[in-house]
Amino acid sequence: MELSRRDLLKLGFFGSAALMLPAERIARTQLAIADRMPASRLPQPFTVPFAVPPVATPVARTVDTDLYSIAQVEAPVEILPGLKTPIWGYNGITPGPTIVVPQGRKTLVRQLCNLPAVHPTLRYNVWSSTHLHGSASLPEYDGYASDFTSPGQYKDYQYPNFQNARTLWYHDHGVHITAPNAYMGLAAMYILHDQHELALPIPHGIYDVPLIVKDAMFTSSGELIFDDRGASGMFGDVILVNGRPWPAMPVQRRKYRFRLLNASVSRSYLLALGTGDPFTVIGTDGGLMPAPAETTTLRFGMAERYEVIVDFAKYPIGTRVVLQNLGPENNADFETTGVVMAFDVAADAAHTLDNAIPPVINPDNEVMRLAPSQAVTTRHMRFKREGGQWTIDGQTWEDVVNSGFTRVVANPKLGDVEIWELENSSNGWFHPVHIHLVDFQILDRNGGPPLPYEHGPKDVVYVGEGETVRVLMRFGPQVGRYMMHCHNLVHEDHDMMVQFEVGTGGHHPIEQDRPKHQPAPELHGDEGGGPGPSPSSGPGPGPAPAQPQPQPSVVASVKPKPKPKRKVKVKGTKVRKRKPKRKRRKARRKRRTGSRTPGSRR
Amino acid sequence: MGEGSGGREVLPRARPARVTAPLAAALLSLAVAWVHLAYAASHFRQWWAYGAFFVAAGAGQALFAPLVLRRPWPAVLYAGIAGNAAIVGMYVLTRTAGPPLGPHARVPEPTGPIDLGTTAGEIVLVGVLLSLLEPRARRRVLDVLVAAAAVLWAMRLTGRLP
Repeated sequence: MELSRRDLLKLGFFGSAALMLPAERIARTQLAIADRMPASRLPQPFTVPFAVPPVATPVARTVDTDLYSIAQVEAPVEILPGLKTPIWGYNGITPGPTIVVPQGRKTLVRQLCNLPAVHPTLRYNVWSSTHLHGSASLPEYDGYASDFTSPGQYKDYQYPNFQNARTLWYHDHGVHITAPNAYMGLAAMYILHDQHELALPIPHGIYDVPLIVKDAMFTSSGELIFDDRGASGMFGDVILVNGRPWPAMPVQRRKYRFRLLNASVSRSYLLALGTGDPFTVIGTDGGLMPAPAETTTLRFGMAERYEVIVDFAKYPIGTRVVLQNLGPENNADFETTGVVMAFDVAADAAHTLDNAIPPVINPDNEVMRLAPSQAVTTRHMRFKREGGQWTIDGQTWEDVVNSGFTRVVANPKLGDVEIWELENSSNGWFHPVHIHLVDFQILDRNGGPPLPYEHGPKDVVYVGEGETVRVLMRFGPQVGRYMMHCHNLVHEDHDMMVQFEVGTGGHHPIEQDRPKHQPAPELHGDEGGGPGPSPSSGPGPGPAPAQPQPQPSVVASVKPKPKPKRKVKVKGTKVRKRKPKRKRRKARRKRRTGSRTPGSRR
Repeated sequence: MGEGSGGREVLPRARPARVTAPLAAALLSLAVAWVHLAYAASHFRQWWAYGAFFVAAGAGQALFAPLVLRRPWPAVLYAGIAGNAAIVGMYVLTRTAGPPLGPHARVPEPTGPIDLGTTAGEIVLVGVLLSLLEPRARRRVLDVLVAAAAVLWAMRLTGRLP
């Protein structure tokens, strides 16, 4: 060779940029994994107190809408005792604040993307898209993956809330980076109540408790480690419930209703009580089941929600009931992932009202009354890994993007009832499949009946290894394009996502209402406000307020401003028009005169 | 080759390199071409332009092999260096800031051993081609490559490159 040492040095400098810059990301991940906190330094299970995410407070109210403002920000939070973990949270906490709303009252949730421009360790360009999972939102407010909001922008999402009572959740859905974004903490619960549910004698108030389950992995200094194992899945060795590692919750000797949400990126659970006792499932993703189902184990896929009732009355005070994870196959289990949390029976029941499980809970749920004979079409979808890509019927989200967002796998008419057969012929993966917009009924698994606790309205179905699951649904009530994807978020990011279109002429999911640049104008409602949400109060006497009280420290940034400077009409909401100044003055004079008692003097 | 102060002369002992270097360049070019062509189909699946880029890169490198073997002229060498450096530059971009266009626009692609190995092969190929250039021309080209690398590092260190 004729290269001098100096030439080789120069070439080496060029090579360093060409090889080290691309390798930096994997090197960071590998270094972080090497620095994983050893199990011996993790907190002992059941030593951290249980907590519930705070309830968000609207910044304003109109006649028919609650207005929220939520900032997506990076913040250090204490997850492992004594260590600060940088997370991305709605209002800087994870899980984010719970939004509670009664049926029929709309919400507008402003999402301010104030995240860093680049992920601190994975070094990707950041954007977000917020999906309210379980809501039949218009296409432009459904968190369409490619309708993303970049740092410095905001988007006002509008939610109709006309559906029946259910446990929803809002989480990130940004194209290609949903898994790390959600893993960093962008997930929170959203509870919709209705009169029927509130009238049932099932546990309400402080006995209606959210349990948001998620796994994570930490470095020795407390930072989150994201390792997607070659785009197959992200599995942590720490189980968090409402953001706390293996917490212990004191309970009274009575029934509790737990709203279970699996917010993990890739981990499914097989939940069981350590006592081996059964518990009762009363609700699924789309709300209450027609009738309760008793079970001793619950297979719990990503994004699934189950409402379960556990009766602690049978245990003496001092008993510890452990919620175990028996570990479904094809998860990466650690010695620490076999338990989830503990319930410590600490006192007798303070209230005995709403302490029952009626034999019939929700017999009139529309989707559960559908019959296969109503279906006008049966479609078959195969979930498969092909050529290193996760595909649905050979298609990916890339195909959707490449088609200018027009390519669809199905185009049912508004109101059509269809059967979809979801096939996973692999033995190496399971796919929790989420169909946006609709609730569905699970007809069968490999020709057999669904699991007993799956006899309720669903929007995610666990398609296990070698399984074909048939689901039945009516398409509507919105028209437009909606996504369907695997809720293993790593699979979703690597393109196991397609879309279908209901009817024709629906709003464009991206163009209809694009994110805007900050600063955002202030949100203002009516002067007097609307009726205000009564999220948790059930009719009649009963235990105190349903959900935990708002925590001012968390929602301080979204407190209503006393004097609006500028009035902004929010699209889709009714805002009372102010009378002209002259008329207002006249009315004020009239009121003053009218309020005086005869003969009184000022 | 000696390292004189005024210039670098090609000594007689280096003459075998004038024979082996084009052969090495041709083999390296065929190897990296094969990788690009082998991965063209999966990139076509993602987007036609990604696939087209891979076909163009692979075909260019494959055609370059006989060319450099038969006619290792300066113009051919310059073309080989420029082409491979451009491919390397695109690689760095896709693994840091993400592809500039297409369905994966701005999403960095994962780095793996095959693509790192291929890039290393292209850098060695550039080195072999440089060795066939006249010293002054080689210095000029190397200065350009150093400047490009300095820009990349500066962008990374200032956060302009993720």
